[in-house]
Amino acid sequence: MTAADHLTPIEPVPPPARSAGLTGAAVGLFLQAVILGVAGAVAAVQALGLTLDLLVGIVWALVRSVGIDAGTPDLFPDLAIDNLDTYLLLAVIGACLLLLSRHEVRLGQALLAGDPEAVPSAVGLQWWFLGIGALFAFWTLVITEDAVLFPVVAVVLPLVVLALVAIGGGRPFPRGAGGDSSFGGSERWNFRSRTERREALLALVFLAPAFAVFYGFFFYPLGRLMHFAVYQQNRTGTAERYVGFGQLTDVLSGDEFREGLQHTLTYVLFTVPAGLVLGIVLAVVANRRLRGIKFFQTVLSSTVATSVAVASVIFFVLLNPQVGYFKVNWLAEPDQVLFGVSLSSIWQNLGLTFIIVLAGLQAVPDELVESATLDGAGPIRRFFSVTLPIISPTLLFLIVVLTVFAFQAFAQIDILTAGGPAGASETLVFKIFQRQQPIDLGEGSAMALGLFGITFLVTMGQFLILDRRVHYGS
Amino acid sequence: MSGVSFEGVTKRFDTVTAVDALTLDIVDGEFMVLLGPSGCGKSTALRMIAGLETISDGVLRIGDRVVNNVEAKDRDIAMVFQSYALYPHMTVAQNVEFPLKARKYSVDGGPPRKLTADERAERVDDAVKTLGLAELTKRKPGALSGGQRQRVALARAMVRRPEVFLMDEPLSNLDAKLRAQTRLDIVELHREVATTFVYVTHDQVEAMTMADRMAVIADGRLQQVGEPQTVYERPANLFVARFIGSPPMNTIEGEVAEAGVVAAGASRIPFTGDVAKGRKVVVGLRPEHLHLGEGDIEATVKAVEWLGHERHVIVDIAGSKAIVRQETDEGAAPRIGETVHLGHHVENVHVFDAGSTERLN
Ligand SMILES: Nc1ncnc2c1ncn2[C@@H]1O[C@H](COP(=O)(O)OP(=O)(O)OP(=O)(O)O)[C@@H](O)[C@H]1O
Ligand SMILES: [Mg+2]
Repeated sequence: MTAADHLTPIEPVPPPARSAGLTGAAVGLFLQAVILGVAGAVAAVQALGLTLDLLVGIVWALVRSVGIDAGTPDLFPDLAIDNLDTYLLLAVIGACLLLLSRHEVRLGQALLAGDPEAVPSAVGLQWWFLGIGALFAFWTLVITEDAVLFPVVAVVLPLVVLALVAIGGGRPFPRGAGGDSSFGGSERWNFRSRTERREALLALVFLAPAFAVFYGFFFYPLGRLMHFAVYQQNRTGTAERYVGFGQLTDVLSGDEFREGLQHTLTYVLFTVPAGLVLGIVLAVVANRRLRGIKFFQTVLSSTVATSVAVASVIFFVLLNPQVGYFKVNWLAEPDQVLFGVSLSSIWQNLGLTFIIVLAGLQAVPDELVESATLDGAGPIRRFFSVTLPIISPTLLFLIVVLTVFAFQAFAQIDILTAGGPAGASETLVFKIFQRQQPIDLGEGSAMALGLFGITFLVTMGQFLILDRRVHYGS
Repeated sequence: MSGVSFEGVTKRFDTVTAVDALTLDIVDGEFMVLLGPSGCGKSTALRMIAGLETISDGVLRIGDRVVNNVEAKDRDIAMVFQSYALYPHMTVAQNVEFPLKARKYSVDGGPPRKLTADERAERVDDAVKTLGLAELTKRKPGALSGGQRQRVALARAMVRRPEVFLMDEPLSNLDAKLRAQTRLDIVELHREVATTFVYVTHDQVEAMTMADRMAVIADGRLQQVGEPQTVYERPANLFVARFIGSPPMNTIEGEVAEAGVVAAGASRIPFTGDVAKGRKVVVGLRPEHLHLGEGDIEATVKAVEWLGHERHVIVDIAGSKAIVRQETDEGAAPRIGETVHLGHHVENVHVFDAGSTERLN
C-alpha cells in the first residue's frame, strides 16, 4: 500500500454549466473570429499583391538590365526594394490574424461544448485584445479624432465577452492578474454572487468621477496635444494636414527646443538645490520648543500665501537697477538673468519647503535623537546620520515637486523679463507659450510633448535613484 | 564604572514638580531600581542622569564629577528606551556600531581615540553574539520582533562599556513569558559587565526580582530605599506598604487600646513595639500572614476567589476590606456571610500613624 492510497481521489473539475453567458461569450468569439479573418485575408491579399508587384518589378529590372541599357549599374531603378520589410510584415500580420481567427473559432466551439479549459483561454485572449486594442484605440483617437471601429472591435467587444464569461460563472481575470488586490491572495470576483456584483458596481461608481476628471483634464488634452504634434495647421486654423512624426523629431532636435531646454535646466539648477537647502536650514532652526517659536514658524511659512505675481513684482522692485533696493542689473544681463529670476522663485517656494520639512522633522521621534545624543553623536552627526535619513521620503517628495515647479515656471519669467534680454530667459514653457498662432501650433505642441516627456523621465529618474537611498519608516 | 548620587535634586516643569528634592546614593556597580506608580517622576529622574533634562535644583554627581552642566553626549552613559529607539534606517549591526563611531574610547588605559574599523567590528561581534543576535545583523529593525528589538537595544548599550546603564521600562512592550525570560537576561548582563544599572519600572515584580536595592518614589518624592526584602518586610510608610506586595497589604484603622494591642471594632490586634496608648493608627497585615481559624480578629466573609493553588477570602474587618490567603489544601472555603476568626503572628503586624502614615513599630 502506498501513501497515495490514503489520499482522497481528486474530483474531476465539473464543466461549467451551459449558460446564456457562456453561449453569448462564444458568439462574441465567433464575431471576433469573423472580423479578424476578414482583416487577415485583406492583409494577406495585399501582401500577395505587393509581392506580385515586387516580382514584376524584379523581372522588369532584369529585362532592362539585359536590354539596351545593359551598361548601367542601376540594377533596380524605381523599385523600392527597401519596402520589402513592409511586404513581409503585412504577410506575417495577415497570417497571424488568420491563425487567431481559426483559434477563436475553436475556442468558441469548445465553449459551446462546455470544455472547462476553454474559459480561461478565452479570458486570456480577451485581455490581450484589450491591452493591445486600448493602445491602438488611443492612437487612432489621436490621429483621426473620431475613431469608432477600432475601439469597438478591440475594446468594447473584449469587454462584452469578458462580462458574458463572468455572468456565465467563469473568472473574468486570468490567473496571476490582480493577485495583490486588497481582497487578498488569489480571491476573484465571482459575479454570480449578489454581494460581489454589488461591490463591483459600487467600485465602478466610485471610480467614475475620478475617471471623468482624468479623462476630461488629462487624457483628452494629452490626446489633442499628440494630435497637434503630428499635424500642421494652416494660417487661420481652419484646415490641417498630417505631417507625421517628422514634425516631432524635427522640433525636438531643433535649436529652439535645445535652447529652451538649456534655459529650463539652468533654471532648475538655480532654484531646486538652493531652495531645498535653505528650506531645510530654516526648518531645522525653527524646530525648537521655545516660547514664541510659533511666530517665527508662521513668518517663515508665509510665502505660501503669496502668488507668483506678487513675488515677481516684489523682486522686480528689489532688483531694479534704478529704483531697486539692490540696484543690480541682473535682469538685463543675458548670463545673469536666469539667476535673477530664480531668486523670486526660491523665495516664493521657501514657505512650502519650510512647512513640509518642518512637518517631517516634527515626525522624527524625540527618542531617536536623544538616543543618538547619548551614543555620543554631536548635532551634526545627529542630523546627517539620524534625522536626515528619517525625513528622506519628505525630501524626495520635495525634490520632485520643486523640480516640476521649476520645469513649469512661467509667470515669473513673463513678469520679470518677458523672456529677454534677447531670449536669454526663454525657458521651454515660455517658448511654448509664444507659439499660440495656429500656424505655430504644431511646433508648440511638439515642444510641449517633449517637455512632458522630459519632466516624466526626470521625475521617474529621481524616484528610481533616490528611492534606493530613501528610507521608508517601518 | 561609577556610582550616581542625587543631592536634593529637583525638577520643575512649568507648574508640575516632577522630582522633588531627591537625595539618593546609587553605589558603584549596583543594580538600582526606581519603582513607583505612573507619573511619579521616575523617568524624569532617569533622564536627568542621562542629561536629557536639565536640573532645576540640587547637585547630581556621576562618580565624583558634578554633571549638572555636562551635556548628554559628554556623559558616559548608555540608555535603553521603552520604545528601544532603534535607528530604523540602519541594520542591526549598524545600530550596534553607531555609538562606537560617534565617540572616542580609551583602549587599554590609553588616551581616548576613535576606534579602528576592526576594533569596532570585534566589539559589535561580541555584543551581538552575547545577545544571540548573530543571525540577524543584516536585518533592519522593522523586520524584527519586539523581543529581538529589545535585545538590539541592549546590545547597542552594551558595546559602549559605559559608566552607567540606564533603562526606562525596557520590558513593558514584551509579553509576559518573554518578560520573565528577559528579566533573567538583564540580571545576567549586569553580573557580566559589573556596572552600575539604574532601572525604571512601575512593576513591583520586576523591582523585587532584579534589584540589588530599590527606591520607591511617589509624587516626585523618595519614599524608601533598600533591599527588596527589607522594603517588603519593613515598609517605611503606608504608601510603600500598600504599593508593594500582591495582593496588597490589608490596612485596618484602629486605636492603640493598651500597650501592644490595637482595637478595631470588635477585634483586638496584638503587635510588637512601643506605641503610645490612645494613638490613632493604621494596622497593616499581609494577606499571607492571616490564617482562618483561631484568633483575636473577627471578620465577616464577603466573597471567595478561587485561583487554583490558593483562595483569596475577602472579608470585612471593622469596616475595612481585607484579603486572606488560604492554600487550597488548608481546608474548605468559608461560606459567604459567615463570621470567622483570623489568627496572625505578632511580629507580622505593621503599625502606621493614621495622620503622618509613617511607620511606628
Ligand atoms: N516635558 C514635560 N513638560 C511638563 N511636564 C512633564 C514633562 N515631562 C514629564 N512631565 C510631568 O512630570 C511628571 C513625572 O513624569 P515622568 O515621565 O517622570 O513620570 P513616570 O514616573 O516616568 O511615569 P510613567 O510610569 O507613566 O512613565 C508627570 O506629572 C508628567 O506629566
Ligand atoms: Mg516613564
